[in-house]
Amino acid sequence: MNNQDGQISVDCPPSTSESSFETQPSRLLQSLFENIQAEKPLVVLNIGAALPETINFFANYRCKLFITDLLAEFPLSAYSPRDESESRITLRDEIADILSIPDGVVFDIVFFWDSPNYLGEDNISALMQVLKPHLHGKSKAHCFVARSPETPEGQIIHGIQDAGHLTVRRRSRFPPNYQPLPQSRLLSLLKSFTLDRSVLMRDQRLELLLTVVKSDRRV
Amino acid sequence: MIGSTIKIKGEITGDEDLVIEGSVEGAIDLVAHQVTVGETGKVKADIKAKTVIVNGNVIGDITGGEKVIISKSGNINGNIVTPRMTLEDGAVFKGSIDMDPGETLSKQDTSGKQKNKLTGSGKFELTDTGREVTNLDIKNG
Repeated sequence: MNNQDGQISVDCPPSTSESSFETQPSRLLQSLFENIQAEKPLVVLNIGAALPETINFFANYRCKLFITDLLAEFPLSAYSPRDESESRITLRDEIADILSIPDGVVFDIVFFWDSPNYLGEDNISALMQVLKPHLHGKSKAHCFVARSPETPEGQIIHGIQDAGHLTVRRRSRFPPNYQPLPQSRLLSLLKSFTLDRSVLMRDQRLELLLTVVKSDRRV
Repeated sequence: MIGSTIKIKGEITGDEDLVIEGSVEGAIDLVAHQVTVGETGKVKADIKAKTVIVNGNVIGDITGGEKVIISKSGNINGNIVTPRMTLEDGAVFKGSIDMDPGETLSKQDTSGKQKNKLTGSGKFELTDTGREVTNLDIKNG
């Protein structure tokens, strides 16, 4: 089934390969790499572990790849649920420090992977504040989110095999605090982005393709 | 080779390949050669080399004129600039990777490895728990 503006289609089952991971087609992945300008390096933020296949994929491009496994830094010391406003400011500083994005860097693509299912509302808000100055009018993002708060925790992680295929690996460790949000709530928190397309996966997660909202577009 | 009990603080320069199994803090500039950080190697320094192979720990920026390889036991926190990079399953990396497969950063070609004995110059001192050296210049023969 073709994806059309926000409509959901069901993905294909993964195929077995000889390597330590399986591969899985992704209709949304192709869209991320459309309109890449060869004269400009592709700038990508990967909020997740560095996987060999993902590195190998980007090695084919002239690119600058920023990699931080944000969830590996959790729990954050700044988390303070009793004082909401202060915790947001402090969380922003801590997340900014963890990501260490240099001034002036703007991302063409942001891979959240499944971090939105673990970050929680305060951290997602803080993350968006940190990312906002680093996005441009054509920035895109990709993530996996639970279909509903009742969706069981995913047992797999993904990487990139090629522009049309994800890799699928069994998790070796689980981040703390699985706390999936309703899709509408999550999208409202990802303030700089709007939903472009989504695909329902076999494990009841949604693969989302996001684009930057017009008001956040840099000139 | 910098053995596992050796600690160096300072700048390492020279014109041969280097294997680090000990501890280095400072800077490593072997732009025409290969630097290998062994499994027991702990480097807190920027590394510039033609080829950089990381099997241990590195905190610092890496410039690989031809390539950078992070093995499964490698752990890097820093920024990498190289035309080609390989990361093995199990490796840990945090930072940025600047890749351009169409460009080789190194403009120096070597005719072959120089396997001369490591000689030291500059100040150094020996301690009971390990050897500390500073400002090591790796020279031929």
